[in-house]
Amino acid sequence: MARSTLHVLISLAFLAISPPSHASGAPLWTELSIPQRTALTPIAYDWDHLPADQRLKLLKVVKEFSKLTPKQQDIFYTRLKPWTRMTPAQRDAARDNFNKLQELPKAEQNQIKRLWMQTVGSDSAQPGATPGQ
Amino acid sequence: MTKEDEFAYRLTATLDRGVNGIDPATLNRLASMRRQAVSTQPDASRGHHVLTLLHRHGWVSATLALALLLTGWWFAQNTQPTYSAETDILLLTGDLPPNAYADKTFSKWLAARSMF
Repeated sequence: MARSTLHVLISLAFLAISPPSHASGAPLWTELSIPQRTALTPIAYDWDHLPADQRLKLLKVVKEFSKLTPKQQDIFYTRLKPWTRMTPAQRDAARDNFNKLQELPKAEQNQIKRLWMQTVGSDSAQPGATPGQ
Repeated sequence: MTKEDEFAYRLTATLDRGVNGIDPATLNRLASMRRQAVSTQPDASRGHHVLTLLHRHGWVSATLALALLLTGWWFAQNTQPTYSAETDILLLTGDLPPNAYADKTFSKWLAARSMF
C-alpha cells in the first residue's frame, strides 16, 4: 500500500518538474519553410538566439503574414525586430493595454492614439526606439 | 430523600463495588455490546491507520508535501492566460507601434480615460 502510494507520488513529482511542452521543439532558422523565412527576414540573424517559446509564438504570428496587404507587410517588417527586442514583460504589457483599448468606444480609442502620437509618439514611434517601460 | 437522591446513592454504591460486584451474565452481555459497538466504527479506524502511517513514516509526509508543492507549481505554470497570435499581428500592423502600448504614459492615459 505504502509502496504503491510512493510510486504514484514519484510519478506526480516527475510530471510536475517536466518542462511545459510548448517551451521546446522550436525550429532553428535552417529548419523554417520558405514562407516562414520570408515573413521573419528582419530577424534572420536573431532567430536562433530567441527563447524557444518566443519562436513558437512568432511562428503562429507569421501564419497570417500572407494575408496582410503589402503596406501592412511593410509595417510588420519595420516593427518585428523592435518587438522581439522588447522584454517579455513589455510585450505582455503591450498586449494587455492593446486589449484594454479595444474595449473602449472607437472615439475614445482614437483620442488616446492621437494624444500619444502628438506627445510621446513623435520620438518613440521610430523603429528601434526603447519603450518607456 | 427524593427519588433522584436515592438513584444517585444506589449508583454510587454500585460503582464503589466495582466490576467484582457484577454477575457473570451481565459482564458477558456488556462485553458483547462493547465488541459490537467497536466493530461498527470502521471509518474512524481507517483514518487512524492513515494518520499513524504518516506519523511513523516521516518520508511519506515529506513526499506528499513535495508532490503537492510541485503539482501547485506545475498548475501555476500552465494556467497562464491563453496566447493570442491575433493580438500580436494587430500590434505589429496597427495604427500605433507596439512600444506605444507598453509605454507607461499610455498605461496612465488608459487608466485615467475619464479625462477624455
